[in-house]
Amino acid sequence: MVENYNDVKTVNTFEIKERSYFSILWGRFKKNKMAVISLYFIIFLIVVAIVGPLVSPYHYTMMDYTALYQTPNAKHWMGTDDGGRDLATLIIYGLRNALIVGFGAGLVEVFIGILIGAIAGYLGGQVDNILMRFVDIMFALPSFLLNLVLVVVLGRSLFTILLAIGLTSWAGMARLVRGQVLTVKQLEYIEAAKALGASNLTIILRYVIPNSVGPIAVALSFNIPGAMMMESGLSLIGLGVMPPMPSWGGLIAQGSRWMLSYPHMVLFPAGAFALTILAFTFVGDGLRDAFDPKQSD
Amino acid sequence: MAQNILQVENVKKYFKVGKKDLKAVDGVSFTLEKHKSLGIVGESGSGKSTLARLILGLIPPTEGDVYLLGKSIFKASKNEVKQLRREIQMVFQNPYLSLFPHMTIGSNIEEPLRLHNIGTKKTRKSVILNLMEQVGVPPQYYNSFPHELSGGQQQRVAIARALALKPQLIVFDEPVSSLDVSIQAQILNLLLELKRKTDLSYILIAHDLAVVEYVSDLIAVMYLGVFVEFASTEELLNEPLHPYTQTLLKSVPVIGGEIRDITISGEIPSPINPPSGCPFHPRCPYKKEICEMEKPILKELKQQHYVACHLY
Repeated sequence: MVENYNDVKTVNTFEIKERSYFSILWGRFKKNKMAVISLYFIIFLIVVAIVGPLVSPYHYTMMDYTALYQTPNAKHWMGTDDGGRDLATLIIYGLRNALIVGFGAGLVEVFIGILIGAIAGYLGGQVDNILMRFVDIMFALPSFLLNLVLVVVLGRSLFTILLAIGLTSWAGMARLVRGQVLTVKQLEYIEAAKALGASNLTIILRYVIPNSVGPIAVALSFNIPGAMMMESGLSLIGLGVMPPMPSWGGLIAQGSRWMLSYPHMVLFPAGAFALTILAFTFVGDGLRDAFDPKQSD
Repeated sequence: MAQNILQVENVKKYFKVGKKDLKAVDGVSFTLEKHKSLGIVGESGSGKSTLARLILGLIPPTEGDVYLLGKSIFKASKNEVKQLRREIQMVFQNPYLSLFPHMTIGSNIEEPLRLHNIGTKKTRKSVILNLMEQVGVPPQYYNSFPHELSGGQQQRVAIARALALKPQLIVFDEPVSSLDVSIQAQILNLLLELKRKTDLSYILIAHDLAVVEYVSDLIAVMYLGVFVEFASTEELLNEPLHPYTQTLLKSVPVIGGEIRDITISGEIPSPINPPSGCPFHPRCPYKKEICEMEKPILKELKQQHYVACHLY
């Protein structure tokens, strides 16, 4: 460390590299190769989900009775299903739905989780007690069952499904955020912030949440595939998105019926699903490495 | 009254520990004039840090009041408190823990300006760079993060952050006790320099008399939540009256000096179970009968020299 700065000042003509917290995180994230590959893969999936439906010559409602159960070929890259629909197109639409449900439910979950967790953790006392008992109740109820009820009540659309999944899965996030807030709030820099004249709301938003963002992001990257699984689970038992809109769960359910004679019908959607979930998990690992405060660059 | 920047009136702070009260601060009163520096010395557990937080208004007192520039920080409205916050700042013991870890050095120093809506982004930057120069942090650290700096540099940044609002009073809570001795001197010199160049008043809290005597006009010796002696630095060093102060002074080792045999034995008693009468009597070499019965009050023995002891 340079203590005598008079010399330094003349040498260094004050070039300030713009460095953000984000660039430091990225530096650490980059070290995890699988996480980086997975991140690119997820970006690729998002691009495919947006562009795919536009460029595909097929539509998920287009049935071709002259091309049933086809194995992969030049016209149908992943073959066709029992209705002669192009499997690749179905998977792309399924991917789009899975991503919408995954990110949408994640967003709902993070929003409710941070709201409840931060209020409970920061205010403490009776408020904390009441909110956390509510969280305990949410935990105790089987979320799949709760999802079924909500989907039945709210109706079966993509939006209601992601809402239902988000509404039933925020309890863990709330607990996590509360724990983080409890840890951060007793740190000395929160007291310093008070001494500087920051209000409670400012303290939560500017100092507590940013310093809790690591565990939240990590949890989220594991919960997004969780939401996708939940949606597939609903589709599997016929309560997911309304057919003929394809969903991965539905495709797997349908394909598994022909598993022995036409294995491609289950292998492609199941494979795509597995890879996607794996990618999110690897990104979660990378994020955890990046946010780990013990690691220094 | 107008000259008094800070007036502390019989503040007490009791913490509930089970059914008992932990009397962290048990009735402290003093006033601080403008442009003076006060050192508060005491062992760990004497309530120094609690007193600092009371002065800052960070925790409510059990009893008593603190007036900053004539206004009670605990009775003021929310807006008034925010205004008062601009006049009084604090520097904490551990700079690494008290700086915002997710913000750069520049942002850390900018934070008080932003919170009080002072200046624009551009004008703030020059203010920040000026402050950094004032406390001796090289400008290329502007975009560094707190964990990339040494402890001494971190504490300089913390001081710059406290100076940003141009407060009239800064409370330093053991600002050097987590630093190397060589760095300690640099930080203390910085304090002296700030006091000489600006009209800053400060309160310096330390457990080491040597740290305090160097940079304070006045010294208060604290023991178990009360001031036992309060005088100008010169007075106190030349003519310590309270036995605790005397032993504190004698316990500073001197190289080549004779080995002294008068030291205090034992440790500071628990503030949950304070001794009856004078809090110092179990360790006092001059203990009298009255010391066990009655708590001595702080009285002005000489001009501006206060002592709480039954010997006088």
